[in-house]
Amino acid sequence: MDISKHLEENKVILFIIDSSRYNDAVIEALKSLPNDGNLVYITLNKTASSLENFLKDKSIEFKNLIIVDCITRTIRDVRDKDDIIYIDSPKALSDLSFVLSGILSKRKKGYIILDSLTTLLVYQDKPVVARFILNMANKIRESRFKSLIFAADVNEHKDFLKEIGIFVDKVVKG
Amino acid sequence: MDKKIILVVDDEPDILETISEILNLEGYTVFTARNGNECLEKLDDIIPDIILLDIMMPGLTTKEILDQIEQDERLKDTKIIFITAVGMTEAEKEELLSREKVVDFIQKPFELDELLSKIKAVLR
Repeated sequence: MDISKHLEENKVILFIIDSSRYNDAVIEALKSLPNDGNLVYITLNKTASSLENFLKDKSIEFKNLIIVDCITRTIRDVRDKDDIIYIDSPKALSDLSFVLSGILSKRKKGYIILDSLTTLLVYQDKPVVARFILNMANKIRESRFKSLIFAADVNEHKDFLKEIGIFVDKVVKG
Repeated sequence: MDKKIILVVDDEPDILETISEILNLEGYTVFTARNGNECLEKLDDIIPDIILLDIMMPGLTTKEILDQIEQDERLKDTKIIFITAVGMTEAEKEELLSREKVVDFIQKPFELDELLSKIKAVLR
């Protein structure tokens, strides 16, 4: 999935991906991004260490990658590192929003990856998630960042993903 | 011999139902909970031999549930098998396995045979 064209024309893109090829599609999309040290990866389904291993296995090495890890602290205590910000839980959307605002104001430009929207629905009700995404999309539009939001294409959430499609600039199915 | 008790904790109703049916057929006494809070409420009334605990659930975090279970003296012989769709490194799994009650992991999606063999191994 070459997303370069979509990225040229849009700031906030929702990728709805068939579950059977979810990881491969995420990797393909990541490979289309410039490796200029401005990538922020919000992970909701892998710990930061697991994400680092995953990227390494796929031969992807981003310069100065910042990971916002919403999972590890649900399992064990861990302190923030220079390149990893730990959120207590995917339920803590206010904390995530706060961290996101800090990144957008400090780092000036880049890409925010959210992986994944459907995982967020395990932890939060749909209206709360919808508000969070709308808020995030608005912040991204006011900044020089762009955002890729990944979601698994599951029947259970089809209507919700359609609703989220209204908040973003482009929906890409793959 | 008393039937062994298993508490299955998962927020996905299909998984909860399927695992419960299979475990019932295998002769276990099965209780279910849909999240961490329900799990702890159930544990007020029962002392399971094994808790099958999903890592990714609404409500209490895995760490919060585990901390509370570990503090409960009544549950000193209860073992936990984590069911997880979360990507974790082997080192992170090892760290969790170093906690006394955690005995195994099973990665979603899984084969029911795999789950049954892990349960049997723990109860042996």
